[in-house]
Amino acid sequence: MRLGRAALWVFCGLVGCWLVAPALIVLPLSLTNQASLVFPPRGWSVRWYANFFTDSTWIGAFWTSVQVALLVTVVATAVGTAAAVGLTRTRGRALLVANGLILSPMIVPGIVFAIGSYATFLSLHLVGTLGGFVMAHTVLALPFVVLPVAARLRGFDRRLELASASLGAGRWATFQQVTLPLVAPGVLAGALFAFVTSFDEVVVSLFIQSPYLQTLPVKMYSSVSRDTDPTIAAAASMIIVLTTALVLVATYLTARRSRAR
Amino acid sequence: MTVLDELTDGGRGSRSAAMDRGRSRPVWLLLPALVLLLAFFVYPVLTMAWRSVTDPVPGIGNFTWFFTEPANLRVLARTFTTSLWVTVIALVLSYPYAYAMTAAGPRGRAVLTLLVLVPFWTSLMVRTFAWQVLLQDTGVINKTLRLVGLGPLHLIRTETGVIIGMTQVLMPFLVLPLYAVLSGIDLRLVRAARSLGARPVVAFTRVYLPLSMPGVAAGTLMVFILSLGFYITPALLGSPTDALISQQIFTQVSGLLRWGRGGAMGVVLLIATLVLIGLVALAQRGPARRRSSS
Amino acid sequence: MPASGAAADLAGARALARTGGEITLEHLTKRYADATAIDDVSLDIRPGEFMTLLGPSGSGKTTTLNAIAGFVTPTSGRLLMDGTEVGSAVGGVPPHRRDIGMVFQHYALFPHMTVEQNIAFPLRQRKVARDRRAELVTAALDTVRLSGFGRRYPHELSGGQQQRVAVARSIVYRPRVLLMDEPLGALDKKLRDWLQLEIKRIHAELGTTFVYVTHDQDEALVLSDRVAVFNGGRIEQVGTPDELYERPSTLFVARFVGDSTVLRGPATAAGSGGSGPGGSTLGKCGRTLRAPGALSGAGALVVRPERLSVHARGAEPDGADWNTLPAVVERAIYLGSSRKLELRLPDGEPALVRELAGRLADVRPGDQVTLAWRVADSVLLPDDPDVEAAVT
Repeated sequence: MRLGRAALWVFCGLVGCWLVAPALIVLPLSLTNQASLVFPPRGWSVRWYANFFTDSTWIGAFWTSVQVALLVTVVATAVGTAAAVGLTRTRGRALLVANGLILSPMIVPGIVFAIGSYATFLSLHLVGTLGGFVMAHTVLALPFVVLPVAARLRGFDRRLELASASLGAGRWATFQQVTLPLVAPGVLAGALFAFVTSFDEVVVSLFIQSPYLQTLPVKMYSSVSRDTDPTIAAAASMIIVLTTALVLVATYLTARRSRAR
Repeated sequence: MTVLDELTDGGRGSRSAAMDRGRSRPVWLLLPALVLLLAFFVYPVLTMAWRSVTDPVPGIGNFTWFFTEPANLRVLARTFTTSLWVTVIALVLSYPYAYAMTAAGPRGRAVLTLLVLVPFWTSLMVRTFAWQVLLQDTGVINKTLRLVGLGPLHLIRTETGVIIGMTQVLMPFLVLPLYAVLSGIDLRLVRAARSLGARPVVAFTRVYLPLSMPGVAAGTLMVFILSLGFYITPALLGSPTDALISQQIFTQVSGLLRWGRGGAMGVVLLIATLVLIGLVALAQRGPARRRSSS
Repeated sequence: MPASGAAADLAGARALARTGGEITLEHLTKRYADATAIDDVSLDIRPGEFMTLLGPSGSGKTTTLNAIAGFVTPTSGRLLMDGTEVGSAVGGVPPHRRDIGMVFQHYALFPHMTVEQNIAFPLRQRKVARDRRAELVTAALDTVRLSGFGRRYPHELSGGQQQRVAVARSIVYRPRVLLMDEPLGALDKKLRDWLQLEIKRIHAELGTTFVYVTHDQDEALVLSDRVAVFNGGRIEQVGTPDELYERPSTLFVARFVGDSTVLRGPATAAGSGGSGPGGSTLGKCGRTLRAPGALSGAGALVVRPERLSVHARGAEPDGADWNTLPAVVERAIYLGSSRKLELRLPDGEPALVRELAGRLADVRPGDQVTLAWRVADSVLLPDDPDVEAAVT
């Protein structure tokens, strides 16, 4: 049994490395002094970061991604949380339909949604607009907000709401002082997923972009096919740092709040 | 409990009180979400389906084209086999990993969870790009193999490369639902089986494995469906001659402006996905009934 | 108002709350799509009394409690508190505006708040000033003997402590009525016994009306001023524990409250061929037993185990006010302070006798004996085939 245990841990170590390796190699790669993607780098330099920040297409794409992601986070979290609460009050067939509809963006293959959006956006003149990006990304992010919030609500003891009412709190007071604090970690997780989903989105964005409005992943995609300079590695590293920082902040926040649980 | 746990927490079942609460209409809460989804999701998908039967002329010409061209059928077959490979390999790797997560202490579990979630939030582009670098003929993998004396492997722009990349990208989608189910399995059941005389292997296959099936089903379904529609990774790691259906759709619409054909392939992909989900849902209907009573 | 201070608070509150709320249920019915939970339930709960709603699962006692709380809207009937209608089929006062407190079986403490914050919660809803809040919280913690636990979180407390916090939280604002839904069900026996006495003490101190739901008839007898016995959505009998035990009005109540021996047989009321003025007779095992009250038809004669005595054949008491039956001793169960004898009658029915230590008959399993009891110590009730006759 000892042997089995040890083998399991070695296995997990290998799998873990394999899971994490790609992200890790990007970081040193961004600091290479060569104009090629040879790994490991033979020399070090930060010029690719400089390039990233001075090139208007790169920095513009980065800024667009941030803008879109922030807007998507706000919209998707608000709409998704409301929907999750609504789902817990729905029963029977209505619940099945609503549930299916809300989760459908996760099931429908990305490419299918992408070309459909492209067709729709063309006729609505939404291609290459900020609003277009936000709408398309929000729809993709919604299930990722609804799932953790609904899970939190499911584990929420409804009797706490009854107790609150018996103690004199009306519906709004109960929601504010009892339901919301206990559901907050789920909402926070949903917001985080919404941001990452939008920031990371490639396929749909490839179709609904224009030369004047691109998101960062789209710029990276075209760079991968065309350029060979490691600016893309710098961009990739920035993405890793940004999203990791976000996750750490969110984890820290929820760990503090949930102390009482 | 942290944000990370929200992902892995299966959500405990609720205890329903047998009383009516004055409920506000849930419709208001669901309305914004439903409106958004209908306008910006359902409508586009339907538009695509519509184009598939109206472009360039009304009729099912696009579908006949798809099913009669042998190249298309090869693409379809290749997509399915690639997805199958990805799913199987991911399952083989994920099951022990998820099990280790349940068996580990809190610190170990946190580390393992972190390792699984890192690919989740490092952008897809980042990962695919990184795999490009790794799989190059002069890339890290080949360099390491040369060190050990093994010949160079041509991995970039091959199906194998695509499978490796896709598996890594999609593994979290298997590990997390699997972990959620495995962590809920009552190990006392396995112990009971052992005490009744079953050897460890038998206890595993007869007790633990069946109980883990819901997680296995959910995870493998998710991974399979995702890999069917995957675009970025196959496009960047594979070769154009071995294109998968998503790449074909891209070519038809973006390159050739053949909405009808692209749409038809999209419809085929969508229907295949829905059929799969339906089959798995049917298979799960019986054993999946568990509602706790108050 | 008296000057501040926890003891003065309690005294002042005692004066106020001695006038606990009065609750009247008038023909309450609650029907769901597939079942009727309560059917034409009427009950008067007096101010300051400890009323227990007793019954098996599904008998409607919890539904009734929830109707009083306002969590259930009756299909028909009225609910009044202190003479004012607060609930009816068309709605009523919402729960958070009825002056009630409620304690749940699984405590329902807010996990994200400390003990203090939990207890202060109802005071915050009533906009009580912060200093006053702190005083009242301290007083409430004293009442449930948990002083000093204010800063803890619910998950740091044991089950019994959590339940006491729940009680403190529901009395801190002196509601006129306190509703308790099987609050001790989740606790182990010793803790339950101790908390029962604590609850009784708190009731005596506060003078609030307590409405308590349980399926445990021992608990009901210990705690209550009066008990309403529920069965199948209806109330079978309301009375003091003494009345329910000695003078049950239905066979269900006789079986549900306390142990008993039930002798089923055809009854004949006096004046239609029975014996003597008043009273009835019951045919059993070939004998004619005398019974109090007048009943003709299928009858069930109920005798409590401590009213039955066991004698050697031929040595039983004789007289017009005694009944006797032959029986065989099956089992003797020694309980320390008493002994239970399980016997079998000639027609196969069981009988149960309880004797106090020091007054044990000299019998062993297998002995043929005679059971004897006074006529006045039995109750004759109409037979009810739904009530199964196995001795617990």
